[in-house]
Amino acid sequence: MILFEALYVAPPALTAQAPILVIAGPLIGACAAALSPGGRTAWMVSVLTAAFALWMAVAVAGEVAREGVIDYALGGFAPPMGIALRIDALGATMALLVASIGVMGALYSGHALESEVKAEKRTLFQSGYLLCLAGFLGLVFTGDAFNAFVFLEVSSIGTYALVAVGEARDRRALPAAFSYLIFGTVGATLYVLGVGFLYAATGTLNMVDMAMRLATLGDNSAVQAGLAFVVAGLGVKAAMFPLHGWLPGAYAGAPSLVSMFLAATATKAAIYLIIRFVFDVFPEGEFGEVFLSWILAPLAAAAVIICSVQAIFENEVRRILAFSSVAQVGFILLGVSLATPAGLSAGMFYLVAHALMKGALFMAVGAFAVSVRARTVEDFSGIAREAPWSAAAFGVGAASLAGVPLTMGFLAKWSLVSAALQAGEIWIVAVLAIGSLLTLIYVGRMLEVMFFRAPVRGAERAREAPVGVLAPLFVLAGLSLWFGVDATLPASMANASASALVGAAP
Amino acid sequence: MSSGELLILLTLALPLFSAAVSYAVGRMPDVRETLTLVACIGLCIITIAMFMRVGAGDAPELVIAQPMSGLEIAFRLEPLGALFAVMASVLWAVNSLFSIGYMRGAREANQTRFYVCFALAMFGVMGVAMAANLFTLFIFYEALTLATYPLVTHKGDAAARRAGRIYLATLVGASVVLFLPGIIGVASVAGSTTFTPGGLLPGTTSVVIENVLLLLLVFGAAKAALIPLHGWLPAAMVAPAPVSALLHAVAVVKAGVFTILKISAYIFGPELITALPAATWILWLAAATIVIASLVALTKDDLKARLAWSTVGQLAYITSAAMLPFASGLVAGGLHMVMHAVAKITLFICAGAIYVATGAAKVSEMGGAGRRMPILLTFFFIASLSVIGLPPMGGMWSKFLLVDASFGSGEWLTAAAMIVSSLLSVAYLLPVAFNALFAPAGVKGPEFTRPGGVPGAALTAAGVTAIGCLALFVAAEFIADYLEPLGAFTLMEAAP
Amino acid sequence: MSEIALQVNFGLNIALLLMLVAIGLAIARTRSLLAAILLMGVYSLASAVWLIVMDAADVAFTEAVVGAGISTVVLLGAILLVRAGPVRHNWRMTIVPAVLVLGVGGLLVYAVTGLPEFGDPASPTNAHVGRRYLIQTPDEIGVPNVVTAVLASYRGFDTLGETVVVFAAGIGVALMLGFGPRSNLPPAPAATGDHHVVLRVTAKLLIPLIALFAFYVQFHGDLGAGGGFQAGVILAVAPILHALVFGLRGTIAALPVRAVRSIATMGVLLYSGVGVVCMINGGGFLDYDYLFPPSVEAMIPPGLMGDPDHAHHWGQHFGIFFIELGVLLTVAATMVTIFYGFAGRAAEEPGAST
Repeated sequence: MILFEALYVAPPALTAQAPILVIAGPLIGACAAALSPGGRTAWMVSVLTAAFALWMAVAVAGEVAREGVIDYALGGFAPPMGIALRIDALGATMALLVASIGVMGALYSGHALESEVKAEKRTLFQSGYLLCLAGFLGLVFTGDAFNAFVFLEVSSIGTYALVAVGEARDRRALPAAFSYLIFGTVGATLYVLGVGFLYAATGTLNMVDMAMRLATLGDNSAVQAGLAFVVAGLGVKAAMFPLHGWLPGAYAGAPSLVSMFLAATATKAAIYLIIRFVFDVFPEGEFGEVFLSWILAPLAAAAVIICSVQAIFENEVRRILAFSSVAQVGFILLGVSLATPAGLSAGMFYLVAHALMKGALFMAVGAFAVSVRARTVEDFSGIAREAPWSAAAFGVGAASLAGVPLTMGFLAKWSLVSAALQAGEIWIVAVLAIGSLLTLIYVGRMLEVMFFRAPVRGAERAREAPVGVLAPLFVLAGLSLWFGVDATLPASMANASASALVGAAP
Repeated sequence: MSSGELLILLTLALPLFSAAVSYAVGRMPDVRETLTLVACIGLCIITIAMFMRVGAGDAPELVIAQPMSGLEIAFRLEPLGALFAVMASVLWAVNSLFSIGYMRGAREANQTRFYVCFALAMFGVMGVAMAANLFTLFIFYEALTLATYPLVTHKGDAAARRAGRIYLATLVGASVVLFLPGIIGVASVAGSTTFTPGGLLPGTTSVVIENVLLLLLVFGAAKAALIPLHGWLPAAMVAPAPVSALLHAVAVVKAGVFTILKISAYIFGPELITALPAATWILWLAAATIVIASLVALTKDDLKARLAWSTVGQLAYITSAAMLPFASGLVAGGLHMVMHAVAKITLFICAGAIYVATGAAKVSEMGGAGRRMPILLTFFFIASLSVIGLPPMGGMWSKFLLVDASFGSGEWLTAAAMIVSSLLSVAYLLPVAFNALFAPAGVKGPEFTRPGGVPGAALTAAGVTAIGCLALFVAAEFIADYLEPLGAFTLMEAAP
Repeated sequence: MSEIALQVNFGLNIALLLMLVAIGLAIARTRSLLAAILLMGVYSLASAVWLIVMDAADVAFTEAVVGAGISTVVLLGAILLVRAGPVRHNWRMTIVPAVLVLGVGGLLVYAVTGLPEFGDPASPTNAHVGRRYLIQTPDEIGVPNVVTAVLASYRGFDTLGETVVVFAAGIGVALMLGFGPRSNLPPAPAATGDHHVVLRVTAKLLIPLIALFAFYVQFHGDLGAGGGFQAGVILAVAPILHALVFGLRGTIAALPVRAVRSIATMGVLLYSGVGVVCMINGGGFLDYDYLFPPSVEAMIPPGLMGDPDHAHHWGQHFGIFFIELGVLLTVAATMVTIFYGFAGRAAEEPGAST
């Protein structure tokens, strides 16, 4: 975060309001997109809005780097009376990530939607996209447990619709969206039940206030059940094993833009909230420790192994990537479960790395989809010869996913293993190693087919995607490479996030 | 930028440049191959210049990047690495000559990809040779694996793909599951992975962890083909002969044992290796590998397979050397690395040349081959003597030193295995040369299937390396002296 | 409360709970979707009554309007689109949900043992923030209904979020069902001589009344139960009723699909616009005290609204007014959008859906 300290990107008056503008900007942009006369205008609104959100997120990051923690009281009512945004290094990092991916997605949507979303739906689609963006950004900034629920719903309802739009390409998007809706609603219900119990026990919804009151409450069945409900509910949204059933179908069926955006941000935002609750709200003591080491860690390990194996036996590229996402969530949560500064930092670093690489991978799949209807791994045979640039970007993303040196994925795995070693959790090291190996298998299979086989699609030939699609794809793939060689920026942000949660810097 | 940094950069850039140029002019084979040869010779000159500087006591350094604290992509030259770089670059030049003859002679497809990947593989080798720390070494080590994968699967048929899968699965699997955790373990206990004279680890952690790390790193370097991680090497023999010659006799496998030597010398240090029971276990395993591989080699009729199994055994010699709790073991290991490389590449070039000229790949088909290819088989004979370890060949010195070091440190088992294996190698190598050269009158030997017989380029290449075997007999002392800093340092340290 | 009243109250609680359990079981058991939807409406109505018994009038009103009212209508619209035959029963399919439900139920029972007694004035909900809302609302907000003060002002940002949720749902339904051919909508029934003359006359009478009631609910929100959400749902019933009785085509002619969507968008824009205006005038987002620039604020005569010492109630009043209006627009327009989506589909031939 130190890098942001000298960053004054907006006038002071705007910087003072930046936290809320990050959220309100996309909200208003969503309205503007919905009112736009056509898809082209809506697209421009989308790009401008996302860029504005990113600008404000950078301004917030600068403030956080200087001030430590920012509080923004909405409606002028100091918490706990009113709702407050509370942004620390972790929140600022997440917002930067989400907003950057948002900008990339918005840029990408200019051309990528053409083959996947009907023309008349594009204005509303962009509106839904911006609503999701607003939801995720609100989720990472809010300091209020119920407000978080509201934003969780804003983003979720948006995503259900966006996933279902994929039916134009793949009819299975509809049942997938429905199953996502059911899972998501159950998750949201559990979360709000939990918040309800916590409110009943503490009388407050503000997270800081709640944490203070929980600390004095001691053992209380309502609190325990409340925390359990909260984590279970968020676990569904984060696709935490075994609550991930909705994810493969949704990612496989959604338009590429949506898969990209969800993979890079949706589960991440939910993981963020889990981290927030576990480290900031959970009372100190046995409950949190038991949760981390006896529930979270084993489940995350199971996700790493089982879902990687599922990815190996899966035959559709999008579904491989989707199962891989569940497994990678496991990697992130393994880091978090260590509960050490190094572990959290590694988890955050991994989170950023995974967002970048999965974003690039889904974008590349979308870039192929511009010209080819390819679904299974075999359909992608030899595509590297026909669309070499997209394939190269896919290769970079895949290399990062597999943890090839000089990519960000490698450093992410490196820091995870180091953190696990430092914490003395040898079994986690073993899980990480086996998981990485399994990842290599399915990644290698895709790359082998793409780069070393002859095309088998018959008359249909892939074309290279237009520049509007390639540019954001290259940015994401390029970042995966750049941060693999010089990870100062993400590493410092991850470290600052970890120390915001557990105090000491690693 | 100092001249030392420039040398390092050039060493890395030249193979990359060669790869790029080969790709760019892929449509024009003559230009492509001329430029490849130019790049090879350029690389030889640069590495020899580097070798001289290191010999003069200089240690050029270059830091490229530091992705995270404690992780550096950096290069630093030391005697072992400089020797490895020179060996690889000289043999690359010789082998390129052979490649041109072989690939044209056998009319292989996808030749551009072949040359590009070859150059990329050399890039990996140079990086491994000059790496200043385990992390950098690992990067180039993996790059080497990936660059050679398309070479192994060059034929593109089902057998080649299957072999490629075994190749990748073993090498990458071992890297990810063993080598990388080992490296990260080193980084966590020592704070860095820098190769430090005298060892990085001593005094940083407990004996148990040191043992675990040693096992992880040695088995992780699966390119050294220690049983049970040897399976990829015989499988990789589906590749064209030049690939087998350079990569699977020299670059790839030697990168494996080189890594083990480096780990022994600079991560653990001979002092620590002495104290670790894991080193003894590895010695036993290496001894077993030496004997078993030699026995298996006896049973193989396919010449390349026989040579591959012989390689497995010879590599275990070097692994043993790295684990010997006696400083001269390192010198002997480094020496054997060179001797075996030069001899084995000669054998592979000969095998490839025989295949191109006559189509014969099996030992049983080669009786009397010397009638038509007397010079080639003489080269084969010379190289066989070197592998066996008989004078007046270079291979004699390294084996002598190895056995001596084993006796000196009381590792009777290792010494016995080496002697037994030498006898076995007499049994599996000499009959090939003898049957070909001095076949009974009735045996006609295989017919030429290629007009013109053995390609001239291949014959020249084999000649150069065969003469190298002889020359190394004389030059062995020079090399041993050159490597002396490794031993001297540790001997000095050993004195309290 | 007297002893008798307490006992009556207790009896009512038990009776309503038993009703809820019975209805819940009936929903789980019935194989008819239609029956299940109607039973769910009944369930909502019963819970609304129960909420009244617990003195939560605002929540009860919302539950009645949304749960029993519009949800039922929308669900009925939905089953018109699908094959609404009896569902085949499969025991294996119910095992996992049953285990989950029992687990969650068990956890709920466990949790309840840790809750403070219902209505305990010393419980955290009543003693902490809740108590401060009661005390400070007259001072800070100046509206009589504390619930409205909390929803619209103290936690106005949540309400903005909820409005956006409704809007997002509208967008979702519009994306799914809002496009496609509408040419095959049935024509409006002939003006005379049909059997539904009683319906039509009654509807004509009712529609203005419904709209009027909606606005009553809207503006009554400051004083008692009511507000934008409930009013929006009620308002939406007017065009829905019109469509049901006079045919969808006429309704769409009067209220085009795009216009309705725009109105929904306008609602959210109005709400967030209030926030932005407050920000421009130097306050925080949604800080209604800054709704008017200081120059205007200075001109407000003391005592115009509420307590003379707190002239800024003006800002709070107008802020709440505008945002409630935004909520009304969004909710009403979204409900109509959703109805259009479903009803527009139903008019298509079976199997003709894309």
